[in-house]
Amino acid sequence: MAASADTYARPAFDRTLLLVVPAAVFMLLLFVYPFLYGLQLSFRPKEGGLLWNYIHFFTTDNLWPTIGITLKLALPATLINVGLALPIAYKMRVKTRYQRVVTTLLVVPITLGTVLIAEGMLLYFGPKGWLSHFLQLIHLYDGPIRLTHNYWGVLISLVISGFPFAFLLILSYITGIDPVLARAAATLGAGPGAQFRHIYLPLLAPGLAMCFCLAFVQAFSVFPSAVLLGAPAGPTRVISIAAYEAAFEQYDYSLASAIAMVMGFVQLVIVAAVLGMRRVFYRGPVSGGKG
Amino acid sequence: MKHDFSELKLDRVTRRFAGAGGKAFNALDELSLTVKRGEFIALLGPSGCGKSTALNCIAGLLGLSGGSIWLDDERLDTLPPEQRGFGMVFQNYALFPHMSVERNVGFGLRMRGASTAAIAPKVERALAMVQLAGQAHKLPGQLSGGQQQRVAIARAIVIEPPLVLMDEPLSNLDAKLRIETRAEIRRIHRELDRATIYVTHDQDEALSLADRIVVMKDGAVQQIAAPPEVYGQPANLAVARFMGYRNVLDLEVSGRDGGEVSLSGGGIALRGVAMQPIEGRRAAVAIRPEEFTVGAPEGANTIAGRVDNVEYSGRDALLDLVTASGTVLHVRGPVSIRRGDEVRVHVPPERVLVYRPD
Amino acid sequence: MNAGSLAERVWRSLLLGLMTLFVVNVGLLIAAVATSSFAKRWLGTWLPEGWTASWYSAAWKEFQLGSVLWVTIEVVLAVVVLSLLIGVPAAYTLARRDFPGKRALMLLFLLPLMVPPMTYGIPLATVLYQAHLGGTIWGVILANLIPAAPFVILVMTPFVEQIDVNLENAARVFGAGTGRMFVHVLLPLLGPGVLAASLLVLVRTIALFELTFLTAGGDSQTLVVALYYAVFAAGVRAPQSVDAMAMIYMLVTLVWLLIALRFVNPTQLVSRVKEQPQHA
Repeated sequence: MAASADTYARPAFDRTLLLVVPAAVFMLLLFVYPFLYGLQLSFRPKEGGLLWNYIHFFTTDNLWPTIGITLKLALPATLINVGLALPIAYKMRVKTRYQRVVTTLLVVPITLGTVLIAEGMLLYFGPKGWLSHFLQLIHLYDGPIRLTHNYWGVLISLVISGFPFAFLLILSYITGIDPVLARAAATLGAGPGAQFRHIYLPLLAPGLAMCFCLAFVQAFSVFPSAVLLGAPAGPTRVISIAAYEAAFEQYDYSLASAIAMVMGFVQLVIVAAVLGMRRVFYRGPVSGGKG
Repeated sequence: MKHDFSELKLDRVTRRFAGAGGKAFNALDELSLTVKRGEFIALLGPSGCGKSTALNCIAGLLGLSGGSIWLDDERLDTLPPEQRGFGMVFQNYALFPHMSVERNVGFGLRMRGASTAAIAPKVERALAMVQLAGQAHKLPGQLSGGQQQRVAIARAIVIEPPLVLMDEPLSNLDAKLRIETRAEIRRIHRELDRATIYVTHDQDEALSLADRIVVMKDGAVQQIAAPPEVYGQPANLAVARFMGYRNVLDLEVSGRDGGEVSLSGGGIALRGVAMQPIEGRRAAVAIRPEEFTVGAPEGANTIAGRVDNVEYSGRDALLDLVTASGTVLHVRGPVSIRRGDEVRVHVPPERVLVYRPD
Repeated sequence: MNAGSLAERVWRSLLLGLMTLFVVNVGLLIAAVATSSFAKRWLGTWLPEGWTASWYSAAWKEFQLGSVLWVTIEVVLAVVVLSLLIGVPAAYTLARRDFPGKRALMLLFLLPLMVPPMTYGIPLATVLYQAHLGGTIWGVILANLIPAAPFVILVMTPFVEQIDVNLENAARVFGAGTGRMFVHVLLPLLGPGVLAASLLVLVRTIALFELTFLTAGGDSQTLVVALYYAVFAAGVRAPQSVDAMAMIYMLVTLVWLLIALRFVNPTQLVSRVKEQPQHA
């Protein structure tokens, strides 16, 4: 379809291509260049040799553990989000008015953003919040609940802001699969479970891998909720906080860039691992036959 | 799931949908039909007539709003599609894009828990039957439209279903392939010796394939009959129009004599056969273009007119004939006729079908 | 279709329960902020002791919300307009032409959406400060454009693809030059897509925290960053006025969200969706 206009002879240079230039230049200037600049800056530390920043990062007690702390938050959060989103999105794949309402409700946390969610959680999940009151009322748990200013607060906020994202993404993948395929499977004797296992899951695998990556990348860069809801000095001192402090509190842009590069690298490793796994599965069109 | 059956019975099968403004309408209205083993049934009608709804109801992909479906004495309409054991060929084939041809065809057998050893020879035989023996390891995306089509047929027949359902399976093929595949479908049907229900909007397909044709319109059955009868004696005006009776004239009834009716109007006088009881003073006659003889002498059942348009079609030509009163008739005639010629055409009374006007 | 087995029904109610739990808790969370913003005093009871709307005027003055809102509007409008100007032509080319390096270019436009803002935000902020754009409103706009422009491209490319290329050819055959073809044929057809893309960018930009946070100075904060500082420094000010500010932020977002959802499918907020009508 894209090339069907090109069958007749045209001038040596297609001027339409110029339309893509502003976007390309913009991205090179503001995305690629800063990234490369940051990379070389990370090798020019304030003091010491070429790799000083990286050596410093991996030998300093309040820096290198941030990787583990962040992973400990991001991996469970991603697993919960994708794991919950898949069955729910699968249930909601049929277009109904109900689906529209639910997806709309789920969009709200995405657009509110992490800051507002953090503020709301401080009030609602706080030791004197409604949840605490409610649990005491039904005598489920009488002590003051501690869901803020610790690991759990950050994890919950990652689920609240991350689940809708995963849900909508998976939903868009699922609705892209031609439902006629499942119906064909049904006429061949596949029950609901077999339809999911043999038709939807293999066709969804690339999308799920993608969703896992995007959800993980989001969770891994957690920042405002780790500060506002967690214990930013200790158990939720995530890698973003370390990078931010280096840049804007110590004004050591070189170290900050190095931390950002480490952060990018860890993400890259996880993303590459997951995407590598998806090659095992089928990749191709998700509709049956032509048409 | 038994393979040894004698008939499939649809008993007043009805499906309602919520229409515009929340008003329910019957997409399928009390379809009753008994399909014998070995029979090839075509559901024929224009788009939106309810034929696909009927097929999906039989397959179990749509629930019924009323009526029941029986395979001999086993009630089927309460079962989900995966327990009915029918084979179905979908309009766009619905081949599983992530499975090879072989796995697509073997899917139904795997779902029935057959062992790999048992599946392989059956798949091989089914692929041989549709002449795709060498393509077993390809993905559907690597096949041509016609090949995909045949994989879809193989997938439906490999499970040896009592009934194969086909939903406009040829609509995505080009004209030449369509004719070839048509013959193949008929052959496969004969070899299987089960029953086939085939949905189409193409009269030629229905006439050439089916043992019986079910003509549908607006969700209601218009006629159930063998192809020659549907072709020669349409049950009502709607069926006649759909089956190629291009001349439909609204005339005044001037006399009745048993089954014969005399009609006139606009300078035309015709005698014809009543296909329905004619009570009113007006009736509609339906005549195929090819029933006319061009160049007849003056006499009963003749109409004179001037040729206004000639559409050459090889062996003969399709003429537009305008009578003195301005009525236009479509007539098949010899290719020697030119635009502007004055001609007289004759049609035998038994080929003038008289219906109640609609 | 069929009633389903017991296990299936248990599974269905479990899913329904989880969804309800999620929606109810998020709803209550928002309600808690709303309640607090109208509370005279609210210390560990079910409901506050009294109600007042005065925190809103307090928040407006304390946090200079007037100027913050104005900055937010300026930033968001500039980001929407610029991202459309950059993104729509690029989307058109990507949809219509094949050229060497197209895949690399697609990757370049995808990356900013895959890499979290925090990772490239810090080097970006460094560069912007060096170019003396850091801390200014232009720095904030440029930073926000980095995810916005690719997003427009990704939303618009399938949209252009689904417009039959023959319509353009027809316009040319009937004598329209490139300019007139664009105005009379392409623009009207692209209209809904452009509207959708701009609403999506708008909603996302209002809520985008990290990049603005890293590049904004004292007088170029948007609402979400101002809210962060307010929550961060809670204790200095009455919590109710922070909550009043949160409510103002939420209303701004929700209004645009509701407008956006009239025109777009919710799943478009996170992904490009090809809406192909299923032929019957």
